[in-house]
Amino acid sequence: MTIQFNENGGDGLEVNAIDLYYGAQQVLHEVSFALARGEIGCLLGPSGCGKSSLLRAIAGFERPASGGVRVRGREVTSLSVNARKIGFVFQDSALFPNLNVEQNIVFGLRDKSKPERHRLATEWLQRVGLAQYASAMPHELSGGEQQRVALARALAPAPDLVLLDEPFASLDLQLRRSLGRVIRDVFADIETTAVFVTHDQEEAFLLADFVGLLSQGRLLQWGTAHQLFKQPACEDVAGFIGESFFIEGSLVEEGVVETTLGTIRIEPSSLKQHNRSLGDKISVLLRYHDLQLDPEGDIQVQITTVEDHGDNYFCTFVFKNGEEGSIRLQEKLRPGASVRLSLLVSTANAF
Amino acid sequence: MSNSRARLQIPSAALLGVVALPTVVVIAVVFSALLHSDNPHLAHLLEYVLPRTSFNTLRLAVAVLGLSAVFGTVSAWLTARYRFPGRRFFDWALFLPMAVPGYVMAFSFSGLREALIADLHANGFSNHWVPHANNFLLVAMVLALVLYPYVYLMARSAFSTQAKRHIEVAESMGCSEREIFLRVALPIARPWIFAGLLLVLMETLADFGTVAIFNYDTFTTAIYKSWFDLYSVNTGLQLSTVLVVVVAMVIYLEGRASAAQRYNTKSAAHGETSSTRSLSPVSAFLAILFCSSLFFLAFILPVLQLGFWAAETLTTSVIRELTESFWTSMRLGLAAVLLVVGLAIGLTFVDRFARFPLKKLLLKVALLGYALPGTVLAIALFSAFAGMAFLLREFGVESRWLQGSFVLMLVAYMVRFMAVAVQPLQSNMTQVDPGIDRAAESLGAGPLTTYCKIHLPLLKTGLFTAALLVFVDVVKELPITLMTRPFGVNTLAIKIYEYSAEGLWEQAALPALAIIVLGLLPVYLLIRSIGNSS
Repeated sequence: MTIQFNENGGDGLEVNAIDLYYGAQQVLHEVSFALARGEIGCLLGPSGCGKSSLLRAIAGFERPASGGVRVRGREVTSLSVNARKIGFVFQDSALFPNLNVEQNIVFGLRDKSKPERHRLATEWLQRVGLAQYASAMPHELSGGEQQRVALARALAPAPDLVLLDEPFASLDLQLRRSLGRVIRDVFADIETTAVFVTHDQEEAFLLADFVGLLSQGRLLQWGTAHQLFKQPACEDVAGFIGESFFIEGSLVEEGVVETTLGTIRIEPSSLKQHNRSLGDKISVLLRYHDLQLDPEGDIQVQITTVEDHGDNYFCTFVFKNGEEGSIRLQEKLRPGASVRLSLLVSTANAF
Repeated sequence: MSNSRARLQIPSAALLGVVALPTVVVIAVVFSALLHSDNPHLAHLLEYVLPRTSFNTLRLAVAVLGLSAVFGTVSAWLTARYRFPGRRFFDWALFLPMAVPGYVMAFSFSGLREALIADLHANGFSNHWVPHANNFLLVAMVLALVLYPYVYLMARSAFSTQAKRHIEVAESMGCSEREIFLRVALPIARPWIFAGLLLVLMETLADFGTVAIFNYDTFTTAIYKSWFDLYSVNTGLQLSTVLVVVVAMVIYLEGRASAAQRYNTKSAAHGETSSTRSLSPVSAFLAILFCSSLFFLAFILPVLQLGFWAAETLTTSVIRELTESFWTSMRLGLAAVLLVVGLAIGLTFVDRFARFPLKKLLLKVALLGYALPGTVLAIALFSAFAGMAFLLREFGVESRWLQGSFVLMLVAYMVRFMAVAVQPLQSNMTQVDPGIDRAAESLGAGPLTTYCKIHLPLLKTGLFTAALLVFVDVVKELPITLMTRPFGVNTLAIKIYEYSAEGLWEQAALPALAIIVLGLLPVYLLIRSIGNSS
């Protein structure tokens, strides 16, 4: 596997072909990606896909069997955790329960003078909006506040890299959003490279410059949110990012597929790596907004289920040939109704 | 509240009351002894016995706490944090000394010392050179070797779960190992280490066998002597008051420690492989040296010594002599299991389903006995039974069954070991979703039906653990058995005590080994449950 460098190279973080085992079980397979200094990367994937293990391997808590990590151009693979200058924010904040908020934040600033430590703590508390809580004990804070302190504690020593392991996971939806904004503003302010882990795409797209999708220990794709959405590298990526369904087609000429919906042009990027010959069966990816309700349309489907999502109705349906799909509609239909649809796109991804 | 539930309140309260009653009686009897200021031994007690036993008990407690804190915390830190050859072995092996009763460790060390002294004499060393019979240090060492696993258990769990995240944070901030230990791991693990030390303190205060074998006078031996040498139960009871007050303070501190634990547990790491750090060859050697010395002293050495002695005495006559006490131990253990676990099943039901005022308090009282030293229980219950027998005789009722029978013994075991039986059941019970109770109720099943059909089958492992723990504890138990047994009744523990009191180490070795083997069963369960949870 080749390393996919982004255009700025990897002067922030470079992860090169990491293999990680827990006992005999391999949890990471040749994972590689890179970030420029100040960029934010996000590792996305279902639970158990290895994203947290990857983060822990970058931090040095786990030792990869092979592969390497470079932080700001410095090879850290063989260094112990405490020599890497990498900050870590855990999902459960892990504030020191015996120290107050300010003492927690200055914990990593032991080499600084006392007034300097106090200055930095105050500065960081202001940044995360907790200036009045300097002498509070961790258990007196709410979950969101604790997580902000944990963020300040990790960033105060000005680490070369910050890793955040599902920093929002233990918070409710409202807090997630506000903390997400805090983090975005804080990172916009400083030149620190960061990688965080989440299973929520919305979070990933909100914060990250680059998103990596992991599945079963493999990095399926590393790119911008737009790239993941528009040019998914494989069926798994397409299935995970955004709402979608697949229909079957066959290749009739270079870049054109014949399906039950008619002929569809294939994104030039999406069939490259596959050596397909004419007549081959191919899966075509359709998003729910690729179709629209159209009495004049020539695609006839039968609605099977209808869910009321408040501002729209999510419907599943079957095509004449038995293939299934889904669509979001403004009007309420009955299950069993026969309707006509038309295709809104002329090109699609196929695998 | 449904009808069937309402009907259960009175029997539930009655059951709980009956189980809690003996503990209340014990405390009442102990403190009412303070009213007997006409005790002819009082002056002697206040002038000689009390100062000496207080001083002895205090310095013993301090020394045992200090030693077991070091043994337990250091070994827990090493095995939880670092990779070194033998780490996996020590991880569980360091629990094994829990299987060795204090009095067994005591007489094997006592015998070792005697052999060593004889050896030195034979080689022409004068008395001057012989390590002087410093009983105090030896008693403290023996107790610490037997009791440090409590600290090890608590500290180990704190280091590898509760403090794990914080350790990683400190690590990512560039802390050295020394800083991580002193500034993060130790402060966060403190409530757990403290709780372990309180158990050590409780056991030290309750210990009778170890100190008796070394002739080191503490409160427990003083209580025993005032009863069996001075024939003054009142003196024994008056001494007990001090012990009960101290124990009450320990219980109070324990409550505070567990509150502190709750507030520190919020960020426990779960379901991850624990990542250990490698050590330099020199550090690894030191780690191995520490763990293996501890394991050798606390387990290998006494067991080997007992093995040699036992091999020397393995004749049919010795075995015949032990057979009877072996069966007595088994019968007593089984009887106690039936009584205590049976009542524990009832208490668990009451805890889950009954609602009546004072329930929580009564439940606490019913489980308080584990903290009361066996000597105190024995003397107080004896005194209560004697008073009751006297009253019954006044009314012309036959009362011989009250004294010099197994009834007194079993009641004392019940008070002491009720908590041992209830705890595994309760912890098993917390895994049964309360929703199940409501579901069963909504389907028309009364609490009793639900408990018998749903909960009890689910409590199987808890029941097994409870029965095993009670059985082993009763077989190992010394002071209650010694002080309340009917005339002429001998158990394995009593045999060991009597043989070693006469310096017959070899004879005591075989029953001691039997008790260690038996004691390994609950230790095995403990190790396995820890292995499952991590």
